[in-house]
Formats: sequence, structure tokens, C-alpha cells
Amino acid sequence: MIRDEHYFKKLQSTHFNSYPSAVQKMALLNNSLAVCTGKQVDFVQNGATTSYSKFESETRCVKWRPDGQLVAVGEASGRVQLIQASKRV
Amino acid sequence: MAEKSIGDLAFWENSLVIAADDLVIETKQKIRVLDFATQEIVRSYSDLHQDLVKAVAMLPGTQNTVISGGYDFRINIFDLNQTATGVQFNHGAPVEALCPFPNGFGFVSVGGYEVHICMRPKCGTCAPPSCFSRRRTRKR
Repeated sequence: MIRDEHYFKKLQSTHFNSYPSAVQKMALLNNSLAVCTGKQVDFVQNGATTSYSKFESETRCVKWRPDGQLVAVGEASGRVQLIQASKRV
Repeated sequence: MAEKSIGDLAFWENSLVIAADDLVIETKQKIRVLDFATQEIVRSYSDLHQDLVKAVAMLPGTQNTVISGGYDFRINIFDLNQTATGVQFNHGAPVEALCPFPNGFGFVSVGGYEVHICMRPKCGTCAPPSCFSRRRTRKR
């Protein structure tokens, strides 16, 4: 067994979410995970989930700005939304 | 399905690099730069991809270098400030996602049954995007 396999076997699932729609993309920055699913984006931080669902169509992709202040979300309709991380709830 | 779906996004300075997942194949300008303030497309790049673009990412450690991958099997590494096409790789399958290394010395591309790890040689003198030449491939 190679060293990497030892490492990954030690990892444990700390949080599990099941979504009704397919998960399109995810973006991780520091401790915050943004999950793109259906017509919403879920933010998972320290096990707590908050949803942002002010979208017209299905979300396709999500990306954090490196400073963690902004999140960009792309929709299937071609619309792009910028969300301030502090006001995402 | 919409005609102008967004394939992927990447932040660049005060702009957003948009990979257009257009179903209209005739649209050649599949990578565009959107300015936050004016909400207008300020730049677009044609002939980089011939099919849907599914992944775009800024290369860490560089200011303007972008990696893009699409369903035309191509991975492009290019400079946003230059009009010329940079380096191009053939992934061998539709590219679904790209993940650059945090140090900017390489990236991983996935799509189809293939995972490619593209590394920059440790020459120390060359600069992206022209220096990606070594490539390892793992096939299932």
C-alpha cells in the first residue's frame, strides 16, 4: 500500500448531505464549501448548511473569489450572479 | 435547455472569465471576460475551442494565465492579455474539469475515462504558458 492510500484511509466523513437535484459543481475556500445544485447554492460551513435560492434557472457553476468576499454563480440561462459572502443567507 | 448556459467561471482582477457552454456551435467566442462594474463583455477569445467549454481556471502564481478545457478534447493554456493562442493539449476525451496545483506548477484534467496530470518542467527560467511540456497519462 502506498503512502497516499494510508492517508486517505484515515479520512473520515464528517458531514453528509443528500440533495434532490444533481450536484453540478462545488467550490471550497478555507472552511466554506459552496455546492451548486438545482436552482440553489448551498453553503456548508462547520457542518451547518445555508441555502441561497434566488435564481431564475438551474445553477451550473460556482466559484469563490480568492479573498473569500464574493461568490460567482453561473446559471443555465447564461446569467451570472455575484453574491457577497457575508449576505448570502 | 438554454442556449447560453455558463460552463465555468474564474475571477480575474475586477472581472470574471466566463466559459460559455453554448449549444450554438457556430459561436466561436466561447471564452469571454465580463467586467463587474460595467456588466459588459470587455474581451472575448475566438478559435480556442470548437465545442462546449466546460472548465476554466486561473493558474496560481501567475497574473493572467488561464487554463480552459472543452468537449472538443482540447486544453488551452493562454494569456488573457495576448490575442495569440498559447499552448494546446489534447486530452483525448471531453474535458469535464480542470484543477490547477496551488503552486501553479501543473494541473489535473479529468474527462471521459481519463485523468491527465500535466507538469511544468523544473527549468526555473521559463514562464507560463509556454513551458508546459511534460505529460503523464493514466488510462483506465
